Amino acid sequence: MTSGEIAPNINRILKIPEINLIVEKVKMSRKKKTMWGVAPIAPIHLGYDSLILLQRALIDSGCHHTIPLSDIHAMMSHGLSFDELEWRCNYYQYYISNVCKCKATFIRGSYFQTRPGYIEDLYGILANITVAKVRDTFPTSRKSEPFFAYKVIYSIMQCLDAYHIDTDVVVAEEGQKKIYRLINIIQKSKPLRSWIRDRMSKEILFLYIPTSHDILGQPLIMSSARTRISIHEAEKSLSKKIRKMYAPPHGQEINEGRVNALLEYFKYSVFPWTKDSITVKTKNGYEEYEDFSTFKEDYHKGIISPQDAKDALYKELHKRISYIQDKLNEGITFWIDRQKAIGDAL
Amino acid sequence: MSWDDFISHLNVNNVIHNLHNLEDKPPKCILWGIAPTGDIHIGYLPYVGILNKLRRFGSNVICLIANYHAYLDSKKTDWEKIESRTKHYKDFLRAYNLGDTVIESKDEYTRKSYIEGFFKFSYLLPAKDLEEWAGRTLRSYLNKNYKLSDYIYVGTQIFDIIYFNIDSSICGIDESGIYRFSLSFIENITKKRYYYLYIPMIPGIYKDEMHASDDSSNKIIVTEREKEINHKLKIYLKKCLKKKELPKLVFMLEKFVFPLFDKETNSEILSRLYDYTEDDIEFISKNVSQRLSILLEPVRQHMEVI
Repeated sequence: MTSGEIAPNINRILKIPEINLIVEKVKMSRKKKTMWGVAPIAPIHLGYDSLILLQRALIDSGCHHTIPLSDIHAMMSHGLSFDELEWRCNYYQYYISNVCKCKATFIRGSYFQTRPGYIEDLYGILANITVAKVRDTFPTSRKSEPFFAYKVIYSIMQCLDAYHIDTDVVVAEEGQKKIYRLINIIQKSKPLRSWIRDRMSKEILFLYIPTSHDILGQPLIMSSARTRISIHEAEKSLSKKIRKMYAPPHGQEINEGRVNALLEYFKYSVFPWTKDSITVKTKNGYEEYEDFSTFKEDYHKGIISPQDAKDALYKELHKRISYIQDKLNEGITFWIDRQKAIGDAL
Repeated sequence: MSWDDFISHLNVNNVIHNLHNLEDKPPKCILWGIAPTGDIHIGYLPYVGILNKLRRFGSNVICLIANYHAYLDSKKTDWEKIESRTKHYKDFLRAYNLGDTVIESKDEYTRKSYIEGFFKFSYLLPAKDLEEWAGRTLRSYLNKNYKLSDYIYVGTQIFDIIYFNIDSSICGIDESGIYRFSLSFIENITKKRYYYLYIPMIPGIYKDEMHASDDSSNKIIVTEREKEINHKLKIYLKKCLKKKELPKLVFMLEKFVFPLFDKETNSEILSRLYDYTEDDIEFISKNVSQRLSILLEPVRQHMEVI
């Protein structure tokens, strides 16, 4: 276990083009209030890294960033009680603010979603829109699941949240685009109650960061606990997952619909989380890498083999995850079934 | 005869058919959900009669003015009209001694405990089943182009049974499908038994059924004067005569209204009804509207008559 602090490094974060682009867009818009909503359902995994880094960058650039912890959404989609969600909310808040050092403002979704004004807006919108029009925006995380009533409320609430939170910019993962597209449908629906129309006439900027990937290089939506790296991994499960990681060597084509997972993890979960150089074994002996782009270049040239990169990744992630686990004491994680969180990988 | 006397004489089991004798075994807590979709018509009288009677037998009664539902069901009541219609319904219930039983969905559905409960419950509700349970209740049934609010309409109606901890609900036959199919669903969740009592729909003056959301020409509104009621009954009886139909509206009132009066007059009205001609219409409509007016006396005292 390590004792040195591991936190996002703003200089390295801004070298990630996808993040830098969003930060620049926000700066250009001169909008200062940003938000990202998350439903605190399951134990956290490294798939959140890109979003957490983005938020850290926005906060660093002077934005007032709000994170609604959407407890009611989690309640709807997973049948959790307020008590169960309170534990999860505390855990998400602690991880993002204290471990990842994102000094955002946290609010519970239930804080504003249980207000009469919110419910009246929600019902007003629901009465305007047909199921056929929005069926493709319903959450599809569990594909085999029949179409439950909660899904119709879920997406509309997500859109409405942006207008009930005092925000100018919403940042989200690319997969959320189809949900936020609903706003257009809502705004155009007729007759829309005047107070909803007024509320929703506010110009909000929606910016999306590309979807993260699992260890198989597939979009996270296709992942399971077995193919994600949890912050609760044990040494052996971490090692096993990294060994299985999809990492086509130099010269080999990447399968359609996938990315090089190994490089993705270096990009979002290793380099931006330290100010130190990363030591990697290469054909020419051990090299110190200060930035991801040089590392990636050497990988593509075949100077770094997938196996050597995986060894370095294990070392770095083990260090980081050990640090995280040290910071998350039992009081906040008692509800987590670790075997389940890591996909019962061993 | 006063409304109180009427309730004393009313035999609930004659008005409503149920699995067990309601007077021997009244519900512990019964819910009547009413969406304020228009002017209240005489079809509401059996409900207030039964609920008054059940209260006398010790039942706890909840009258839920489902103001959100009036909007959710294809916006039968526009948002701006909800408040005034709610007041109209409250006044009516107060007139019939049910004022202290009234709650509003506007207040209840925005309570944190309700929102938590309903959102959690929605996780269990398959949308297809909701469509089937709703059947003809919702206007969207006609074109099957369901609105998102339709699911909330049916879902909240079912959840109310759990939330208000009731054991029975009373509804029109048009809403009965929701209870008929969903009660076993929630019985599986709560492991409790639930009952529903339904009252047949009252025929409209022009249409097959009388609904609060209908045009006033199709319904006899409780705030109408005896003269107007008499006039509408005549139109109705003439229509039935022309179509060679039995006047179901009057037959339905037979169970509820006629026991008020002496058997001799009742039997004369009934015997004429079975084979009436143009000449009998005046007699029938006059007698029926007189009887209805007596039942509507509480309205005359507490509400503005039009």
